[in-house]
Amino acid sequence: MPAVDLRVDEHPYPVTELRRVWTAFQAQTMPFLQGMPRKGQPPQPSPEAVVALLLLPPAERPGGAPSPDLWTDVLGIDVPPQRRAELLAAFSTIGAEIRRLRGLDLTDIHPAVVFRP
Amino acid sequence: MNLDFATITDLTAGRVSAVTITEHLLDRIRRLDPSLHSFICLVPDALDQARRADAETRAGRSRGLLHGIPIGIKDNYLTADMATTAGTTAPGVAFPHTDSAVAGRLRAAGAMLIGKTRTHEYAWGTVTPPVRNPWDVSRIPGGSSGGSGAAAAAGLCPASMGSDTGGSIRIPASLCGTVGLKPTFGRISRNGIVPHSWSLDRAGPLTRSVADAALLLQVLAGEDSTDPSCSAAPVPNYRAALNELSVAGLRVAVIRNHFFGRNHPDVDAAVETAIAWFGGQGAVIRDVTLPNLEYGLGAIDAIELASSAAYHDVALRSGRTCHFTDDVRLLVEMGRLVTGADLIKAEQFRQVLKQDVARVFAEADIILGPTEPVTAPRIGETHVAVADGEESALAATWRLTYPYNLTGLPAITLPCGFDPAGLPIGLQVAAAPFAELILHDWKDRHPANA
Repeated sequence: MPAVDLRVDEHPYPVTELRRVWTAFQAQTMPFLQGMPRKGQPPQPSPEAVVALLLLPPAERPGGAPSPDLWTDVLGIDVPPQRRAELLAAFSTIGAEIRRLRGLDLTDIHPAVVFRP
Repeated sequence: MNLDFATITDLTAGRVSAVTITEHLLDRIRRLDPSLHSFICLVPDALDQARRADAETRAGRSRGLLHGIPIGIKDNYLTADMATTAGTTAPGVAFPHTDSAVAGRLRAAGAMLIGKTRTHEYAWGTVTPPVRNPWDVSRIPGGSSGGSGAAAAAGLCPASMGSDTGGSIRIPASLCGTVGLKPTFGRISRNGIVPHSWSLDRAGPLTRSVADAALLLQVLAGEDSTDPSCSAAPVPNYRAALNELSVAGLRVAVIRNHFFGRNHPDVDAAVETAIAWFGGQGAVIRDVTLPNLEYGLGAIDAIELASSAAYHDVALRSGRTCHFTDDVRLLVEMGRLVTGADLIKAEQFRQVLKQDVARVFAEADIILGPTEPVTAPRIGETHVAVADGEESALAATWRLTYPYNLTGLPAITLPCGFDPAGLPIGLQVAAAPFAELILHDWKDRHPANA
């Protein structure tokens, strides 16, 4: 039975993802596992380094990959979670109009934007 | 002369002194504006300015076409002698004490800027709190140039300046029963107007006659190197053209989709009467359709929201939009949800719509239609009755005006009647300035609260 069973079958790039997860596991989880009680090793507090590591957000731990936040990192707006639903609801009718516009094929139309150096 | 509702043309022809009209208006403002709230501030030295103008007149000097005429100016135009707030009370917002290009041109022509008229915050809305409609103070004046509409309609100034991104001159002009002119994009400099959406914003006057609108356009039109969008096209003599226009033989297009079908029946009746009046005077009326208008709302939404979010980017990133009023905060923050591809597609669509409209103008001189699908909504009313049920008040109030912001065309609204409640109805004319339609009814009626 394998000591570790990591599955990333549905990831678009499974080998790359597996390598990333394995690296993160080695850096983040192994120190924690090594401090756990086992035969011949009585329970004791986790080493300070492990505690400090666990206190960090996952993205900031060794080997961690930042997970972009749609609102702050992609849209560039820091909206409190409770307000996001209100904003999306208000945008729904506008979004519907914009989706209608997206349905047009304007491939050959030059926009009314002229750059003059 | 009854000075209450005198036009600029009346005042000039009647040689009314600057002190006389200024004292008269200040008295009216003192009596009426506590219930209308159209001005956010008045210039402190109005009478001193008027005395200087009169002294110049006595010495045989005139600064220009507006010598000694008091004008109201929207609170999103920078002015050297009055603070600008753009309608916001958000902390940490300060605008320069310097004259916008329009303020400078008005002063150069001899006008006295009597005060700043209230705007919906950052020119983003059609309510303009706390301004009241002078025809019925339980109703909104429209917006965002609501203070300008209320002040001009109530006889608190013979004319006022507004700005128009999706209808912000024509909406209050229609709901308050004044003339409102949104000139061609680039005709008047926007330097020194707090931006809302750079490719849509327009400066223009709200007046009590078409002749006054032509007069103000004459003063304000022209190239300005400080506004990259300002056109170098020669400025025609609008005032002379006013007397040369004839309705007989005029080719009139009426866009039957989008502009009709969902309006309140009172509006449709007044506008159809006006269209029939044109026909009766010898104009050739032709119905047309512009199917692509169904995509217009998505396009202007994308452009206006994204542009506003870009202008307010620092406030957005620092979280200072929390100090905006709820409706404006929501609109500014929603701008971040518009993708870059959608914005560019909206700009592509404008080209399509411009071509559609150009085809209409190949066979027409003007386009006629309603300015607003409804008369002034009540304060706090979120939905209004239209032909096929209810519509959001915000959506309804700019539905018929934004197409001319997308296309950059000049458009003017003229009072063309009243609903059974006595609220004004506006007729929208797009294309070349049209000057002679001031309905007789309007000449004899004035707001109940003025």
